[in-house]
Amino acid sequence: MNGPHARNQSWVEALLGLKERLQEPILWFPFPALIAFGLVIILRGHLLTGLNPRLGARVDVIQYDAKNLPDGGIWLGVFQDGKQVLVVTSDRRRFTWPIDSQNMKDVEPLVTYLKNRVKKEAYSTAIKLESNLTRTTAVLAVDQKLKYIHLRPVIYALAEARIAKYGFETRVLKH
Amino acid sequence: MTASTMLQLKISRTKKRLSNNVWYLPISVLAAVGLMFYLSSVLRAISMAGRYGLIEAEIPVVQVPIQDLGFKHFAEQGSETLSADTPLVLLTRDAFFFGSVGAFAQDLTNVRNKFYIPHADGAPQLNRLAKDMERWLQEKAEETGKVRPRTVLFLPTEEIPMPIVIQCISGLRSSRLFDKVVVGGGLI
Repeated sequence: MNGPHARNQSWVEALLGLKERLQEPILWFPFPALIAFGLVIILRGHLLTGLNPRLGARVDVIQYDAKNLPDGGIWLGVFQDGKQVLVVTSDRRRFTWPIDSQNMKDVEPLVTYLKNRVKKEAYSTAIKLESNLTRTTAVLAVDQKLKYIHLRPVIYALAEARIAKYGFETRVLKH
Repeated sequence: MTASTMLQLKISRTKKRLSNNVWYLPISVLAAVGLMFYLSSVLRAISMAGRYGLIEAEIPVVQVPIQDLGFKHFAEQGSETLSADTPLVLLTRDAFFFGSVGAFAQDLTNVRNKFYIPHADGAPQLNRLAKDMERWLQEKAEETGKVRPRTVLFLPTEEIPMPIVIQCISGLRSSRLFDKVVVGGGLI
């Protein structure tokens, strides 16, 4: 019963079963795959926010050779969304104001957010007894289509939040 | 063969298939999830650059020394103070203008204390700006006997596109004339 003939017989049965199964069209197959794909995209893009702050921010930064971007820092993506300037932070907070706004009160929510971030870093510094300038450096990923006038409120917000050091993110071409 | 018989046959085959292959559905879904996870990682990897750089700028702060009553009596010193002698670069749609802060703040109409570098075919001439500024700073240092300032104020006008602003900041920093660039158009 356990000889080579029995083993061959089980293979033949398996092959026959497969042959019969493949004769039937499997119309339902793409749907579980699509559901799985959707779940994976949602999971990676929205739930696991710490993966990459750039995900979901429609920012096209310039390609320019610059020194490497240090880890940490307060990342802010700035881009235009219709007639609004949209600022997206690394923890998925969004701040908007009209593109032609001259009223600095429109930036108040961003100022409050930045002040809280700086305060948090200050507490962390005090508890750890070590300071890290990179943690309070603002990294601005500015879309190429924007003009300086659109960025002025952001710089104003940084100054209001007592952030003295900031920088512009660039995409470095691989050599 | 009638339609009813065909349907019965199909149902029978489907039942047989499902009864014989109970593992088929979960393993297919699992394989699909794995494949999609891999594909989405590949898509992310090819659509996002692996390396990012940073071009730094500064916001000046007002020095408010706090008295340290502790043992060490630590006192923080400012690295540099902005004054009327601090170099200033103004970027407009047509040209660079540079001079000292005093030349732009107190004596705006005087054409003898400012320098003008027009854009070549709309493109800012950063190399020429660096060369001319180096010569001006050298002459000024020899004339006054003061140390050359390491901070520059950069004032772009409102309509300048951000890529040009960023490249000018980078150009000023990489010219080795200055350690810090303070961007202040519209703020100062």
